[in-house]
Amino acid sequence: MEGFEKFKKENFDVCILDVMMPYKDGFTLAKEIREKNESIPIIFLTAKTMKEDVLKGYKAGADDYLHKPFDSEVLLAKLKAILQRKASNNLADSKQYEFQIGNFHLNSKLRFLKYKDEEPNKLSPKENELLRLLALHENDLMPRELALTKIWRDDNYFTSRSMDVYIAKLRKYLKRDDTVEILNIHGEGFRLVVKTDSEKSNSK
Amino acid sequence: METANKKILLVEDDPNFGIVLKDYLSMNDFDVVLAIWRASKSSRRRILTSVSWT
Repeated sequence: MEGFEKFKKENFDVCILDVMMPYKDGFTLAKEIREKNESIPIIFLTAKTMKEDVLKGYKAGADDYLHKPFDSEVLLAKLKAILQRKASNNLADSKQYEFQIGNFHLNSKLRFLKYKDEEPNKLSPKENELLRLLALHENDLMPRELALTKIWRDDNYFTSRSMDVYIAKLRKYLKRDDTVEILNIHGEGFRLVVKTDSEKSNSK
Repeated sequence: METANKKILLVEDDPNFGIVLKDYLSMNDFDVVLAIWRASKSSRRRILTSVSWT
């Protein structure tokens, strides 16, 4: 059965396509797959090394390109990175707008951060988006580059420093609740930690 | 990153390479569907014919 027929019959998380195939090459197959599913990651395997072919591959919708012979561990690392990126992007595109963060309640549509029954604080747009992303990744890593590309639309030194300032602002809001903490994961990103009551008593 | 149950469509024209790669990825907890893409006998004949013309 040809690749596209299999693709149509089942749901896949990733496609790995050989470029050099008889009659229908991997580029054509990738275009057909893209028409049916815009977001599925595609990796090309090829013996071709010409720049034009690599560019053609990316134009056809490739997420990555591996030249044969390749190290299988490299393919594995690429697959893991691509799936991680896809999972983070899916999370960032989530439609969830309300979060309970310890004793805080975040309504990110209204940009309100409320502590217990007190009057809510109105967050700035960036504070709000950043806290929402952290809440979507609660107790997990929120990759630095994800926040920079989703909120600042650019991943460079200056936007990175700007994000650190916003993290400091959020820490200031959240410091009233000692079950909530934003940890810096060096070189990776941030983690919004919300401790349960038992974790809180154990840490004392 | 959890890769268990992540499903991969692998399309290859070289069955030996495809099977080796499928086994490797399966050993690493991926669920792999291999599509071997070969020219049919008639299409191979067409390829040979076109080669003989050149």
